[in-house]
Amino acid sequence: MKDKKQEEHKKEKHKANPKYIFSKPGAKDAKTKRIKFKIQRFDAAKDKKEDAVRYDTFELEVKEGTTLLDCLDLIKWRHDGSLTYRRNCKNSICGSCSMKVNKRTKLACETQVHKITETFCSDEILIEPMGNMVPVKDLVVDMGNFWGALHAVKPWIIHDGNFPEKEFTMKKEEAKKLDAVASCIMCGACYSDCNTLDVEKRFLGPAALAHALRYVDDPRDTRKKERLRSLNKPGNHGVWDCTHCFACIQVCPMKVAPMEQILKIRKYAQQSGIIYTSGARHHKAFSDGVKHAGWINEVTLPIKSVGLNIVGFFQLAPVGMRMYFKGKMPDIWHKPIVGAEEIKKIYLELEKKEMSNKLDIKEPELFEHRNPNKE
Amino acid sequence: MANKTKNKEEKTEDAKSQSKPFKYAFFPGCVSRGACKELYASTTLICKHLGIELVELKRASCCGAGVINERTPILGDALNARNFAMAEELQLPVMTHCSTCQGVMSKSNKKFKENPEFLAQINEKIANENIQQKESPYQQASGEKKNNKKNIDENNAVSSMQENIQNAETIINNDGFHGNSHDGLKYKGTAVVKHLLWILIADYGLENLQKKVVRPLAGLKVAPFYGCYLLRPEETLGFESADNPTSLDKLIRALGAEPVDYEGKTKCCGFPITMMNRNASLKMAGKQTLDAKDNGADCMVTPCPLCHLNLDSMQPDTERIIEKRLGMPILHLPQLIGLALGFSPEELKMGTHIVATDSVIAKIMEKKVAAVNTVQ
Repeated sequence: MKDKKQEEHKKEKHKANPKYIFSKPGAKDAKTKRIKFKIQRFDAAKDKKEDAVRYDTFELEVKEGTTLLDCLDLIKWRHDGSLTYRRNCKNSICGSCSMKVNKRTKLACETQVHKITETFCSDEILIEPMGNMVPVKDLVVDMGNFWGALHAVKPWIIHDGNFPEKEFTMKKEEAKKLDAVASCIMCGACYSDCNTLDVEKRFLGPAALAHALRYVDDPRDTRKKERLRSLNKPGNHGVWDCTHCFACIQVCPMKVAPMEQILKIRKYAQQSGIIYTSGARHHKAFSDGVKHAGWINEVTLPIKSVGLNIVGFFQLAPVGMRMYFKGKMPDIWHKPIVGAEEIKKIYLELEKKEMSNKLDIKEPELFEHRNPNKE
Repeated sequence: MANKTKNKEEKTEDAKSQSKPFKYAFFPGCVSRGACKELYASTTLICKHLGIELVELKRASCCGAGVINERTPILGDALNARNFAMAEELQLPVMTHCSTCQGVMSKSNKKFKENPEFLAQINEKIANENIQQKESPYQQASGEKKNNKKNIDENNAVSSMQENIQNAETIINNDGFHGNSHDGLKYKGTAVVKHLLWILIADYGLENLQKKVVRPLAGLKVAPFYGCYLLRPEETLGFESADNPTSLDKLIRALGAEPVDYEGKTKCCGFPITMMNRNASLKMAGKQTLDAKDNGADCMVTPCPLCHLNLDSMQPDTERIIEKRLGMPILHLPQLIGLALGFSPEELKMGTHIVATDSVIAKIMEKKVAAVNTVQ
């Protein structure tokens, strides 16, 4: 009887005062802020779709330096035990706790709540499950498509022919090439924010394609060309579906820069003669236009990109007509810019050598990946 | 005491920057000279009106637009180094009015600034005068032009710049160079590249822009479409937060209009894959446009002509793909500014858009008429 009363009293206390002052050890004098967490709840068991999704708001007093995961834990432990989310290491290495924070996918364990409120100039934070994946419960999603795409690029070394007598040896530079992708923690953030996946579910996605490069780059793998061909095949929705939006580079917590890896695959493919794709045709036509006149030829570029494709041509024709009648059509005669001959000189010096990988200049890496071993 | 002197210093610096005329090396990019000529026209028009002097880099090549930079990255960087060297020689910051140019050039520039060795190697390539070159069909034509230009410029070389500042008609200087070949170009790594939007916010100041607004766009709901290249990745661009950009919203507010908040504003328009996966590309454009429409936007404004191509020129195809009527007018950034500055839609070449902009113009004019009536 007494226990029951006590429990009821506890419940009422929480109802009346759901705010809880949370203090992080070691941060005694830190600033506190009252923050609203609007969390998307999902219950697949509900019959109606409208009932399945709802938003719950929790208000907490949060000290500076507190992470989002700390807050979620607090909500689960003190306020609502039914809140479901994935968590594990609290150290941004397991990649479990990725979720959408104000529509951007982040790891909850390394996202500081105060910083989010500063960036978004609002004390309310919207928490949603990852995008491009099917929700299972609350913030937990089914990552099946993500793993499926990864599996599709065969993320293992295939070595045909003789194996060396002892171990494989690798040069330092060769091993270094694999480092960036090797630091991927498969959290799915890039997959969740991918702009192409938003409209094209068959796209393999940034993480899988980045891993594909890791095996293309691996000197122990003997099927480089086969891999490149498969990644370039239009039906496979590989590298040419990437829309260059930089979202994956922006959200990746490990700074793997998946888009940069996708672009490398495109480059390797063109270097090794896989030029039957519309993407490769487009790149060549674009580059040739600049080579001859210093700027792009917008009249021939789409026609050359489409190639010998009647459907594509008929899709293109109305666009051209439309633009022509509005006076938006670029000049048919592609006038070279002043100094076009200087540009051609640079082309003659660099293009062929770079395409055949004979250039003595090494392109610097712009994005330095995080190395979990060193942190 | 120390603080006081610091403040003084800051103040004098501010005064200096205010008295300094706004002058930039203008990099127009390819699209504004081809499929989006209205962008070139409106940028030059508003810059002239605002007293921002532009020296067009006529010898500059294409930035690579992420395509050359992807097929042959080093060649792409070399082309950009050449462009930067020209701006450096003029001692002017580069102004772009295309997000893609901005993104690609910022990326190249960061590579150069962080890797002096790489820059030295590239410089060797762009300055190489001993390259045996085959006869180019364009050489003769451009050579002739070069001579003509040389004669003109020899006469005017000294006075041309000053004259241009005074002469409003030719405030856009045709060429920073005097027709000389630039085989010996060398990029030192000091160029700064800024987008028109950034210049208006950080250099020119929105308060100053607001003073020039004669036709406040009150009541017009404008959806800012930031796109990708101006925001991401933050490491190379860094003007504002990629998670929560505010520059376009602030500008729209300064012009008297109301910015519309919608999720698609930082998403991709789909243009880069228009040739590779047309369906996905148009679906992307459709999704963002529909999002803006559902949030009550009268029009969308974009700082990138490539976004404009996919959102405007392809809109009839997009409507067919998403099976929904859109009819969303898409404005270039300088067009929206131009309207607020009092320019007519004809001057801003808004008639060349595929999606009619009549509804936007009617809304602005209506307000003006209403305002006049109330005054009377």
